[in-house]
Amino acid sequence: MNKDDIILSAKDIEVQFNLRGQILTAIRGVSLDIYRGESLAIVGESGSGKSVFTKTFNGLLDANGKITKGTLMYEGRDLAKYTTEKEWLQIRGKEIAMIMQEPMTSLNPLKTIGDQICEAIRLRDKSIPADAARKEAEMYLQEVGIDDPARRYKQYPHEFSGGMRQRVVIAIAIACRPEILICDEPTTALDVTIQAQILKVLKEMKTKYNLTIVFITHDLGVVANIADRIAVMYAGDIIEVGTCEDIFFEPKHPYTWALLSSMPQLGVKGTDLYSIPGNPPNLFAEIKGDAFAPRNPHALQIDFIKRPPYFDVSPSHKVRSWLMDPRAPKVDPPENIRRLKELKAVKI
Amino acid sequence: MEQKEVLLDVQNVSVTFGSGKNKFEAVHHVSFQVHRGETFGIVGESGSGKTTIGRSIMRIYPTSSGEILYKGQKINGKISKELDHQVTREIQMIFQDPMASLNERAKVSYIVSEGLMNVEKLTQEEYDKRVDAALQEVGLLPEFASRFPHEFSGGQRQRIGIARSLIMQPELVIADEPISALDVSIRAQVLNLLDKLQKERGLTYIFIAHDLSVMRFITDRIAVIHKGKIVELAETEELFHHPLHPYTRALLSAIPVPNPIAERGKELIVYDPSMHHYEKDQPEWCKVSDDHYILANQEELAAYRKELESH
Repeated sequence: MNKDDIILSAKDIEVQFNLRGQILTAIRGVSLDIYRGESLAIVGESGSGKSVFTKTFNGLLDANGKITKGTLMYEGRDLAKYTTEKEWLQIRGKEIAMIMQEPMTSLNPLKTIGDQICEAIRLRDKSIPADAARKEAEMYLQEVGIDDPARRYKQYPHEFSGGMRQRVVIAIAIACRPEILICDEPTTALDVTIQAQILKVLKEMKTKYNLTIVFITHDLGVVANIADRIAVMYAGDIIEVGTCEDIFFEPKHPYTWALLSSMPQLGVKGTDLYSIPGNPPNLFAEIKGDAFAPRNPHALQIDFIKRPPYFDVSPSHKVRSWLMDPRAPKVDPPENIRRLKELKAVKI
Repeated sequence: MEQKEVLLDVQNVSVTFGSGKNKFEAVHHVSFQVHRGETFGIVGESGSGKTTIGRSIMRIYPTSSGEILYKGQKINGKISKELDHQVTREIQMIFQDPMASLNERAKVSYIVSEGLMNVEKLTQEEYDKRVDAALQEVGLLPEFASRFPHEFSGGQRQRIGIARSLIMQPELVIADEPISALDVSIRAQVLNLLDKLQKERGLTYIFIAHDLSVMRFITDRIAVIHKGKIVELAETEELFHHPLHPYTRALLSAIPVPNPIAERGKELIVYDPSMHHYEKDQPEWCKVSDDHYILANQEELAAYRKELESH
């Protein structure tokens, strides 16, 4: 991963949805650089805008939503300016591909697996002869860990199990030979054992095809496995971004603490598991100050008045919290977060 | 260790689907006991039969052999009407997907009270009262009773599902992956709620899940099930510290750990059933140590025992 080689750069992106005349601001001025060849995880609760944010990368926002502010630079082009399907077809799949959450619904039940992969190959190269396309498709199937690809090629999605379908979806995405692969909760609907296998396949594909992976999830355990960097999202904003080690061992934002604390892995039996009090903010209303402030036990007065800027903790680690201001009182992370840090020393 | 009261005793139960050529044995000679007041976990991959076990206890699926004893009475197969009523009332279930398990066209008040209507004749007012109480107990407001399921978030819907089972005043609750469809933060809330209810009402839970990290936090004992057979059963911490069966080890190795350093160096263990040599020596359900049972043949058993001693 080269720190200077930025493949996609989002600057101050704002996304608004029009819901029967009401304006909902789903993304509130997000800036993020994605480096070539890295795997970046975007973490947050449902409704935090993590899916919406990545959907802007390949023009998959619903018809009532649009980018109202900011730029999205990819290879010298500003994707935020794209409006027509024709423009997006140059990007979608070929440059930036996406894997959806539900492998049950993202495949066409009426077409064989082989046809669906070949469709993706044709998208890239229209002139490819049928038997060459078939050979290539079988190769992808083999690569994602599907045995006997020649037989599987002719089968329909219903003949595959959940984990196998997700492998097929990965094969289709790879067949487009994208630069960036966005994985939207690809393992949430799967078993733990299958999940581990899918993550392994994704990592193999990443090295083999030099992919840049953007991984969306709410499960921090999965993130530790796959991510180089983590961006934590809350209420349409990235509130903390850093390397995997930064976020797990030196988290600074109270929301990141809360998210880490609510993992059952950190729970102590017989005691209550930490749960974040209150509800996420209403995105129809204008948010003043730090969006997390009403749920934050460490909130300062200024948190309710002014939105915090990014404070640099280290060159790789940025936090949007007033707690980092030199004038702010020193607040220690909760007990179990410190325990996470001790884990680092143990080095299992 | 004190003698605990056995609430549910599952003896040698098999469940078969289909007949003749299409016969499929989803659960194969499974035995376990659930004590009053404990949380018993059943863990396995999808298709392992863990849900089938839960459902056959609920009398949804008929068993093909074996006995299920609840408070010492046989509850599988043909039973009397009174016993059927008692079982329906005392054993309740919470389902996985809160989006799919609630009737979209019914109001919350009806959803929650429907079960009660079948076993108790009360006036509408009394029903409403009970619904209010149940909703409050799971942390919802009584006025939610007049709303429809689509007006709620996933966590709230799961609470409605819990209220629906609580109103029957059950003793045994079978929770079939109640939190796998939920967000991390909501997950914590639902787990805490289940824990609170257990303490207040002395409920017994059978908790079915595939995620061992959650299981470790809430269960007292865990049964690991693979292809319809329980391969290992132990007290939770014992299972995590001394997993013996290779399948249990594979499952444990797949748990995502919130530690990037450990995750990077992680070796995934893949379970291959052909590693067992069961052609001559059939595996049996044996006791390795106190409260630790395993499916193994004599040769493996000796090896497992040796391993336990070396710890």
